[in-house]
Amino acid sequence: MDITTFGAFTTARLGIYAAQKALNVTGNNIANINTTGYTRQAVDQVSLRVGATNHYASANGGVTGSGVLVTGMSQFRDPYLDIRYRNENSSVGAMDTKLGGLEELSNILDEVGKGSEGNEGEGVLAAQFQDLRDQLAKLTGDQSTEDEFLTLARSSAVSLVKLMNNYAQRLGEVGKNQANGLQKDVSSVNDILKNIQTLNENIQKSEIYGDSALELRDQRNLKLDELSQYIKIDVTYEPVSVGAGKTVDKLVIKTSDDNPITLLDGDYAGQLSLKANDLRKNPAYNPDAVPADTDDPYLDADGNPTADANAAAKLPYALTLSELKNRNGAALAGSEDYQFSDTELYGSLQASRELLTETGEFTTADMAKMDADATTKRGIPYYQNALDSLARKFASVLNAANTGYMYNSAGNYIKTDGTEITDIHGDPIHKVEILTSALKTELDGAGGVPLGGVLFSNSTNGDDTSGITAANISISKSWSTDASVLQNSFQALEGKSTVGSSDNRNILHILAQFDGKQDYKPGDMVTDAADGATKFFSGSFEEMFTNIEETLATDTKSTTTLLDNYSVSTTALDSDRDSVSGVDLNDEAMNMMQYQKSYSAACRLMTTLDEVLDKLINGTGVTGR
Amino acid sequence: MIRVTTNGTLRGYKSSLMRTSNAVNLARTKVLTQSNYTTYAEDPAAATQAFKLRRAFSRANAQLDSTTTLNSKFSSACDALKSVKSDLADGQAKISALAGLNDANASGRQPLGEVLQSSAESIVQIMNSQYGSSFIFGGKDSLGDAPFQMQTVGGKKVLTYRGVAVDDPANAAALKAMAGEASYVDVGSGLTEVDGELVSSSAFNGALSGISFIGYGVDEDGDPKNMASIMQKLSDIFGRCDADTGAWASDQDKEDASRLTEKLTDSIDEITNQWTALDGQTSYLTTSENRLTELSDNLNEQILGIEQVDLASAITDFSWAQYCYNAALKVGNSILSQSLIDYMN
Repeated sequence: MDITTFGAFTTARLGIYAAQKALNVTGNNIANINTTGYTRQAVDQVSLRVGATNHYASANGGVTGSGVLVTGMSQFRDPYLDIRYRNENSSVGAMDTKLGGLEELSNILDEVGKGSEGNEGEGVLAAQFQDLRDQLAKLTGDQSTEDEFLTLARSSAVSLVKLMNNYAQRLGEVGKNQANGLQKDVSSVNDILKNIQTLNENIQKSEIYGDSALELRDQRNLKLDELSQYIKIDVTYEPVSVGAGKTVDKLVIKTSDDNPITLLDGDYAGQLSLKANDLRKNPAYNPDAVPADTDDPYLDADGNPTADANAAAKLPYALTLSELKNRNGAALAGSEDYQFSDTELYGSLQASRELLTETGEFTTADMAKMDADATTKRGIPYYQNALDSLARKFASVLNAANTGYMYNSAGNYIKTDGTEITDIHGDPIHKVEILTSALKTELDGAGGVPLGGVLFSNSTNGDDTSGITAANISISKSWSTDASVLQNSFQALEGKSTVGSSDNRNILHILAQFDGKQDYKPGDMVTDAADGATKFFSGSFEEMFTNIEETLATDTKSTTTLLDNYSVSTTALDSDRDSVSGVDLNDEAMNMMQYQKSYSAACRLMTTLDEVLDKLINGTGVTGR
Repeated sequence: MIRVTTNGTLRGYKSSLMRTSNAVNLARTKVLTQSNYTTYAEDPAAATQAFKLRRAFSRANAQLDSTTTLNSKFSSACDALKSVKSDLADGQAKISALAGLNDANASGRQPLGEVLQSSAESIVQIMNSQYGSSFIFGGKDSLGDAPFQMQTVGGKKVLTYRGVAVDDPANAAALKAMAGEASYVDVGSGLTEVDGELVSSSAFNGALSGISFIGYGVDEDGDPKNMASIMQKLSDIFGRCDADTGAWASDQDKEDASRLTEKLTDSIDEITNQWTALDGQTSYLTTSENRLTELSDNLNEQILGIEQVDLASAITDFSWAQYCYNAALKVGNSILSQSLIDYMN
């Protein structure tokens, strides 16, 4: 069937309509040039041809089209760029969060450029170690039992332990802030998941009514970008039949991992929950099964199921995804709670978890089984442990150096009357560097003369040296009440049972401890450490502190470099996306001109048709009038 | 890139501008702080090296302090020994003893004896000199009572060192131990302990035991080796001479006086040796002091070399960064200048 006489007007009308629509879209594009996440739109139009060829078709001439039809609006978007962008974005999220945490730690531990007025650069804790050593060195100048100098040495030690306490307390605060931050991030992720869930619903509804809901898609893409910072995700669109032969796309978000976990499935979304101290759950176990599930509820560090909560592996700051539910609260069939394992996620949530949990060399054997790389990952607990390790070593070495029994010039322990103490064989007992408790008991029983005493303890209220950490290290009660507890020497003067007033042998010994190398082992702090007996550092107290700073600095430096790289890639990818999806004023100007012309042309067509028909109707068959 | 869009250009510009601005900021910070790095992470290797040098610097200064103090103590000791040797022993006691022994005018023996006694007492006083609150010649026990004391036991004057009679053969072991006392100080010779025992060559013995300088114990003739005791004994002998004629109380006295005068001369030689040795140690301490001062200066220079910027290059860098930033700003002015829309009628 060919077009009717007045049908040509329809062609003109459709042309005007299409041009008008296209101008509307151009206007919309220009108006949204600054709208975040806006994707450039275009009018989808097809050439209209009414009817089909049949035997009533006119035998005169060919078949012509009937104009243009606007079939809808579409977006310019490249899904592959979205995937690449979101992958990079999860790396940016991870590194950004990690760097944030490391910088907070650096504010405390990085002593570059710090120091007292005029001595910037010598550090704070580092300088205090040096000050204590200086005060001790002063005692060796024939002043080893002078109260005023002993008090100076003690004051310096007080400042040192107070600084350690302060550093430990501030490290603890970083931990708390990070934990709060993680909790907020979890809430943000949950909000995003809920938002996407609602958007999915609305988009689906619109689609059913034939509206492609482009603006809602833009919003959803923005939310997906946002989510990709927190968790590395894979986004897929699956066609779902909504009846009457119509299909709509269903959005599914899964974690990007060998074992992808669905976070959101169309209208159904999960919610994350955070538990600071959790036990590793057995994914096969279903707590709601009736009759009761025969699977064990927990997994141990090796991944074996166990029913014993004590044998279960500990999972700090565990994230659990709830079963997927729609907005009416109905659960998706087959969906259940899922606890993410220690290394399953990637992105800022995981980076935050790692900052809160990773202990580097202090990793327990159990944690090392769950994450083979755990001993090289260092979060806040690593730095706390390292500082504790320094405080404990410092206290134990100096306490040992300052505790002993009186001996004579031959190096044999003596009684108050100056006679030598003998062992069961009648031989004199020669002095040892570090007293064992057995020897202590023996000497106490035999009338040995204990000298010196504990310098550092775990509180100011006593002389208890157990469990000393950077947070609790204090000057012992005895030392705080009597500066002369700092023992100048253990060697009695010849033929006497007193120590020479200017004998500084033990002060020099303590100085030697400052300069000597100590071995630091994870086992000193963590009893079930994976590499408990392997020293991770050997050096003086001050070198150990520098080592802590250096470890942090190196990690910060490499994280900064990585973040920089990822940020550059992300910016580049975002620009790439923009090259596809972004509005460009030159483009739109061209479009405006183009559609304006086609609008005018369609209008001119209508005038032409009018003139033609005027001729036909009013000017035909009037010959000779 | 297929299409360079308006916002794409803007984003790229913003990101580049931020980098340029950061570069200016960094260059400016370097000029202002004059530090090569302001955080550990900026240059971990340099920061570690600087902290290491700072530790060495602090050690060197502490050692310098100890050495200076010790040097002053040893110089005071040298002065004291010089007085003992030159003024008292040589100048006063030896002359008195020789005069008492050989002078034709023997009636002066008793007053000479008194001179000898006061010399002995002066020696004791000088050997009790203090440096700060400690007695220079107190050995390892220099913060208690004065080490040398002249006590009267049974009418006889007995010299004690830290409570031990210096001339009593029964105290030989105790005296020997006191004379050999050592109290070490870290003067930068690489303080080292092996199994808790100090390597004595790695530190400097700062204890000065008085009796090791003026002698202790008795010799094979039963005479005291201590200089003050010899003087005291001579003084006793001279005191026993006849006040008018100066005649010896006995032949034995005469013999003893002659022998003791000889021993006094020997002990003066001995103290001269000791004094020379002490002077040698003082010189060593002075050398150490100079060496440590130099070390401290060198370390300071090295630290500054690592930490401080070369101002010329820092300012050049800053100027360049500023220039780049200005250029970037200039470009920014034209980023959004024109589009096709501006040419449409």
